[in-house]
Amino acid sequence: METLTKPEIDFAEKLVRKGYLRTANSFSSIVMQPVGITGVTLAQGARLDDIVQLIFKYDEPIILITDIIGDIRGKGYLVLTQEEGRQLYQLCLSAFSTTNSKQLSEESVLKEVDNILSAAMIAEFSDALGLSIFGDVPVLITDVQLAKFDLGSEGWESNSLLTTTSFTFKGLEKLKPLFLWKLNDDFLTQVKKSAALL
Amino acid sequence: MSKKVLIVDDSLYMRALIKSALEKAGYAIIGEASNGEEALDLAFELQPDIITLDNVLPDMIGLDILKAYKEEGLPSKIIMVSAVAQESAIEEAMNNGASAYIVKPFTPEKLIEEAAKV
Repeated sequence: METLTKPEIDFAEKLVRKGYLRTANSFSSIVMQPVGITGVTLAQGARLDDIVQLIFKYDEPIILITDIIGDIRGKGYLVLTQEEGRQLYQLCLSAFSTTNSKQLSEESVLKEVDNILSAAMIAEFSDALGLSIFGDVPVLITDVQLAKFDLGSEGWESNSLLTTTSFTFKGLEKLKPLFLWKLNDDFLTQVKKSAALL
Repeated sequence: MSKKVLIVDDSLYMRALIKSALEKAGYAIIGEASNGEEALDLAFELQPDIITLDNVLPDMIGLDILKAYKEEGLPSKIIMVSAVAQESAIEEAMNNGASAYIVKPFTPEKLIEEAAKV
């Protein structure tokens, strides 16, 4: 089981912050308006209870889950309230003004948004750590029990790294989707290797 | 005569965006595929001039589809349109016969510009 030293945690924090900024940039291109991030956190030894508390503070959350495929394991979660989901859906449609937008379900739009955001984060990890990784097709879960089952089926006893941020939109103070990543032991190994090269 | 395009992407939203942009620019969308199997079947059946190809599909990786197209001698020009933004992935696609690689999110103008070049 890997444990990060203080300089390695600093390295990891810089890496995830760069990833979140890259993601915010992608988000901005999707909705055609400035998107920022706020409150970046990073903690080692993530427990299932930590993530459950973050995700299930809402009554009926929309949870978009993306698995990392390839050299390392990890999972990204984009979490929205039902109202945020509706707002984001409208923003995406208005930004692109597609001719057939009425046929597009909220689920279809949100899944593609998550796909793009997760890919930006994964690209940052891949480029910085020299890994061959990409994001799987996103899954959208609104059933709380199913989401808890999915979370509970993971290796939460390991020394996972949990990092979170929230996106901010100018003029839309109530739209603050939560973005969090759980990164497993093999991610920590790569961080150690890359930090040692500095 | 309009160039014929096949759109391959598992996201209905993304297919709608690509379709909207290319139709406005005068391209004829002759088919849409949401997975790798459909992407292979439709490409050989429809013989489009251009294929926009996502890199991650539920059943296949876009790169494998790209390789299959080239191995079978499909003459279509392939524009990869993917959220996978790693330099290594872009390089690999270009080395395996893609004519262009567009990273999502993209503007309609960018897509039209690349389609006009291939």
